[in-house]
Amino acid sequence: MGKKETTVNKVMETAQQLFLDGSYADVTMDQIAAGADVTKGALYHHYSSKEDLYLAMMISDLKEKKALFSTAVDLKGSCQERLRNLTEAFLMLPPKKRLLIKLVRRNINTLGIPTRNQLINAYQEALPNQVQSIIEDGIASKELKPGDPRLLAWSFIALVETVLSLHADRILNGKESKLEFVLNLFLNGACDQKATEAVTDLLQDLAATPTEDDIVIPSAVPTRSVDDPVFPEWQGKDLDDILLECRDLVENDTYPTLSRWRESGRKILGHFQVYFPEEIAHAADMLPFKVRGGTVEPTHADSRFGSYLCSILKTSMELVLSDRVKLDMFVTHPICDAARNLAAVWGRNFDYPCQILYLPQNANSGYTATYLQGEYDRLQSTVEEISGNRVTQEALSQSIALFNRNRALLRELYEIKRDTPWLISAEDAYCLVAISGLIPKEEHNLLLETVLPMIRSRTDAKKEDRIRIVFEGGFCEQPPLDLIRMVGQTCYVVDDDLLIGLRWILEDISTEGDLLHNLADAYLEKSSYSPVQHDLRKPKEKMLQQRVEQSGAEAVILTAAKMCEPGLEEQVAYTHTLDKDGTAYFVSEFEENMTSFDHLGLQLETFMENLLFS
Amino acid sequence: MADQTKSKEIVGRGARDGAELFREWFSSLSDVAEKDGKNAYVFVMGSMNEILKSFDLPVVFPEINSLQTAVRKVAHEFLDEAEDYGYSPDICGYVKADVAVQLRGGDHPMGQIPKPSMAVYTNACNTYIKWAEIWERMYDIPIFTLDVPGTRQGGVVTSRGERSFENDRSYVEAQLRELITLCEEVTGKKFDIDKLREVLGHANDVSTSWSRVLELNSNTPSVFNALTDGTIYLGVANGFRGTAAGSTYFKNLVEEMEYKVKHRIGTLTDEQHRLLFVGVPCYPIFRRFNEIFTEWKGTFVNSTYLWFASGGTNRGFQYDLNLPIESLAEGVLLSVRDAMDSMFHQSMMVEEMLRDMNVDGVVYHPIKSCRTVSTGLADSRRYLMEQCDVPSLFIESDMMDKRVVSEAQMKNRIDAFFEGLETRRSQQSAVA
Repeated sequence: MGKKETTVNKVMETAQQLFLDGSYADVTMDQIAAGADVTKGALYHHYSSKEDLYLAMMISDLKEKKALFSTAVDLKGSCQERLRNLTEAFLMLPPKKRLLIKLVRRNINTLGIPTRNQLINAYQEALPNQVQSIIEDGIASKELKPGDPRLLAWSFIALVETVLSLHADRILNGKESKLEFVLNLFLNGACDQKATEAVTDLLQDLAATPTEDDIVIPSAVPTRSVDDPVFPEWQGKDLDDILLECRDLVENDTYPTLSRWRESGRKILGHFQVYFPEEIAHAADMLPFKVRGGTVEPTHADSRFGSYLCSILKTSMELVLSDRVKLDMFVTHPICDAARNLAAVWGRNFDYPCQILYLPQNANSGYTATYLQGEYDRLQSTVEEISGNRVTQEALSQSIALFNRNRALLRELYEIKRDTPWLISAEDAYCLVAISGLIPKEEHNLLLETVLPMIRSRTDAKKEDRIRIVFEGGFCEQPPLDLIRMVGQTCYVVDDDLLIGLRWILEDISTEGDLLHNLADAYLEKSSYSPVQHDLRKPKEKMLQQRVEQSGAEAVILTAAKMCEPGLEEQVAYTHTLDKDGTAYFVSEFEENMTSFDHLGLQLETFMENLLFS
Repeated sequence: MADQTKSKEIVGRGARDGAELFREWFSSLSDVAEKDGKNAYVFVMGSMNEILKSFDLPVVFPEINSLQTAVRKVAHEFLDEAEDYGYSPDICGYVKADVAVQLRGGDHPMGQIPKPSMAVYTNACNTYIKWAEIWERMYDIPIFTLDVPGTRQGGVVTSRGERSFENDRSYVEAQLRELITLCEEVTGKKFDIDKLREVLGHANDVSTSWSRVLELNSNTPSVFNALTDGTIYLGVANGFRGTAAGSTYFKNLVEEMEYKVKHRIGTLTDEQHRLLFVGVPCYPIFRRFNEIFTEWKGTFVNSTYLWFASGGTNRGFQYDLNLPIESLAEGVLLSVRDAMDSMFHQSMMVEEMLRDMNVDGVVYHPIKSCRTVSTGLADSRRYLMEQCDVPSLFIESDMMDKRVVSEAQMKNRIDAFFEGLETRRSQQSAVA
């Protein structure tokens, strides 16, 4: 055995013991180096991080197990005999080796996504796949009743795991008893014959239910994939019903998707409008939740703020004060004089980190990208601390790729709005975007990938003689859905700045090189505009002109949330510019909690009619 | 007799000299306007006088111009004019008064305001940025945002050597160097680092003295009223920062305050209630507002306004003249950050003040016009009440718009507050 091999073996043995004795978070590289009697330098020579070492340890162990179990599986015999062989092989393992497999589940949530995926795959190949193949053979030979082999395989593994407990040690005397317990319970059940038949029928029903072909992990291992969705309601439905589900979710002030996410033990980072580099939170396995107020009464939050403020500040805080939403971290930005106070106000009311992410207000300095990269680095440290997950280069790269896909899909949605606005209503398009701030991007991508082709192939919607407009003023506080619906019924909204932060980055971000720099650069160089970002290269009125031109709009609805200073200030520049251009516009104000639209609707209809007949 | 003469000469000198300097300053701005001379529009939180004065650029403070229209009770005319132009009643009154001044070609009750050659501002207030964009559109002038990152999380303060702090400091320094280049382009003058050293030396004097003046008011009786006298001193601290005149003024002011302390000459003859003011003054009824308090023998011994509206120079940061630009970057970062903390995270500072200045009560004055200062005050007060046993008063009005200032209602609330203070005091005396 070479020196290198000896060192690795010593490290592995020490690490196995340490990880079994303590939690993943408690084990340090220092402890492993000391236990294995190697220098820290030597340890890092072999493994770049604790996570790297842990993965190597687990993969190596699972490979061994795979080889051992496949020998048992390959033996000829009945399904029952092969299950017995496999289980016996497992129970014959030294206690440490048996317990190691439990670590897969125990530590899975503390690992980064790439590591997690590799570990799950290795686990899947080592155990569930092999059990499944035996069960498939058993069903084919009619030794077992028909049922979903995957579900049955997971059930069998779960039974085996129960006999590894201390209680089982006390009750079941020796490996043979354990083996008989597992096989008997799996094959005959704990009930009388009738009950057993009922369970089998249930399994058959489950098998008949359509399942995703790409399920690769056991449900016992929580993951952040589309297989374990926080928003499953839309799946398997037709377009109208999907859009209805989306509207329901956007208007649901109990935020069920956030609760479901938390139930799986994972953390939530709430970020206030407008832009936030969600990729960083995603790479740490936190759910980035866009805090954008809501149509709730600020009964608790009112006493925290003065009178002359926009509604979104109060309703955003109401969501957390009223326990509708529970966060683990809150981030606001210096977008306006009111919002920059939020970190302090929030911090006086909650114990978790409440911060300002200082997005640069001087986009034109030669140093800005470097500064922002450093600021993202600082943010990442806090995110790692809160989530308990290290943001690896690989994880961040994958997150950026995922978000690139999301942005591309949103661009496609806006292409539909622009090119064929009769195919999607303004409110439905809005909801499809807004949901992005409520669910993991994996799920949002799947939703859009499903829905966009459905929208494009719609045959029940016909083009009407309506004015094409740009809706400007929804960059922060959001108009109520009823207002968007009312606007959409009087004209075609071919472009807008609603939830612009979710669409801030206009091009793909590179997934290679210095990723935080890439994110910083994209914020500055590949981005949209809003009244709350100052960039000498992007005078807002000229950017609006560009939006009108590129979308082929005939008029503009210029709106601003009540008491929103940046929005109200920008209206002056916008109106003066549109006056010079001769572009028609309609000026208004809104509030997220407004409920009466009759007067506004009448004014808007008159405006549109004037345009149609002029 | 000699003492009386000296007393007459020293006591009140800060107010007299301050008023005189102000008249001179506005007169000089009228000269600049007349000659269409170069000048820079700047703001109180991070004026960058240090660099601008090293290029001999006269500075215009539109905030001060605007508040002067309110003090002189003509603000409503200016506000109406800007609202007619399209600005909402719900935005900053300072901005609107200035827009009206610009629309009037610089006509202002204190003289003629020149058109800007450039504008320099920090992000300490977001409205600064939107305001500068208005001038950019009006005059097509260069505008420069000096972006100064502030405290990220309450109670978490970074300092020299820490990675986050150094990232911020490098960012500020890089921008300062870019500002110097811009000033060279606008003025046609070459940057002179020795001139900068000279300006920084004067600025150091002002910072030291300003800090000392504020400190001296912890004496009983207090030697100046933070709301009225303080606002005069503040004007000089901003307008004359980095100048010999400013340096002399503040040295004299320290002398005056030390003299008053030594001779127990208070700002009130019978000081009964020492108060802390949190917010921005009520300029539309500036004198009357203060009178309602002094009628109850209450005086303001300190004010968050004197901290943030001096750009955080109350902390007394001293520039290292051997490393002028590097040190300026650090000083600007710390001072402007402190100014922002005074607005967003002032609770802890207020707690310190209560202890150090023997304060009897805190007056919170959020205003409609300024979200920067006012947004968090209700919660800040709630938090303070949880932490400390100190009476407080919360009154909302405005710094510019008399339409939202109700003097009668305000007086009722203030009277009730003082009645509470006196009851509390008598109860405490009874217990003792």
